[in-house]
Amino acid sequence: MSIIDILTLIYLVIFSVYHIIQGIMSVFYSEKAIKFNEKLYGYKPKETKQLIMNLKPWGSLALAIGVIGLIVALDINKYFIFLLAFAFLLGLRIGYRIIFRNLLQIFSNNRLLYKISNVFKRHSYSS
Amino acid sequence: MKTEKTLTILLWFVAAYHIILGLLGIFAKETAVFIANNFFNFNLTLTNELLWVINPFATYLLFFGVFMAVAAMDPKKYKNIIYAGVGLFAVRVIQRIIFVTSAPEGLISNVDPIRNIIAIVVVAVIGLSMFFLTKKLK
Repeated sequence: MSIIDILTLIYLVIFSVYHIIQGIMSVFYSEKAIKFNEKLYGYKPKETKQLIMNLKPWGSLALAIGVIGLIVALDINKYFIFLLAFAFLLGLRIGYRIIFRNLLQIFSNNRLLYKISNVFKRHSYSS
Repeated sequence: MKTEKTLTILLWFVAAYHIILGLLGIFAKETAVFIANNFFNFNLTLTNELLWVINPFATYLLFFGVFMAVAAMDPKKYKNIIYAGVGLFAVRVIQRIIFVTSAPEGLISNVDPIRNIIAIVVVAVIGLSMFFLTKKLK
């Protein structure tokens, strides 16, 4: 197993476990999920009634994606094509955080993510 | 052979449904209210917070669709992925039952119990069909 394979496997397992935890919390313990994300991302929503109802379908998808990630991790060669989709999914999530960083600032106090996204912006301007 | 063909058609349908909703969520956020109303039985009022939440939600819808499309290309090889999809349908049935029985007043767009039961039955039938067709694959 090469170092890239090992790193991919570690990343995929962490990604999957994270999504399974987020999924279960969002579907079955939505209010706790909001508090959990507040601690993790500094995400402080002002309105939670609608958010809770959105978290449930999102959580079920996150749970399914997490389970699929674990299945892929168990046999990376067999499910290699899914790895490409996971890589693209990760790219989109990073892209969102950069594109919507100003919107995120409205309800998030996570300065670290904001600073990282600004570094990306400066870099794209200078290149 | 017939089982595989039926499962493939069903998987492509599930894939197309999720991919279209995902793409609309990403590229046409103004349709979110319509989608929430008609597909998730939910009266959505767009706020800045929800505009952000729609992004990961739509992304996961899209990628779940992509995973189902890949599974449709070779259902025998990707049986376990299809079972994960079945799991999602099972959670959705539970979730829809919880939603119609416990959602705060005003958030449910459709209060007609018959229509709600039909919606839950449709999701359950798709999930069960995927499960039994996959189980029958040799």
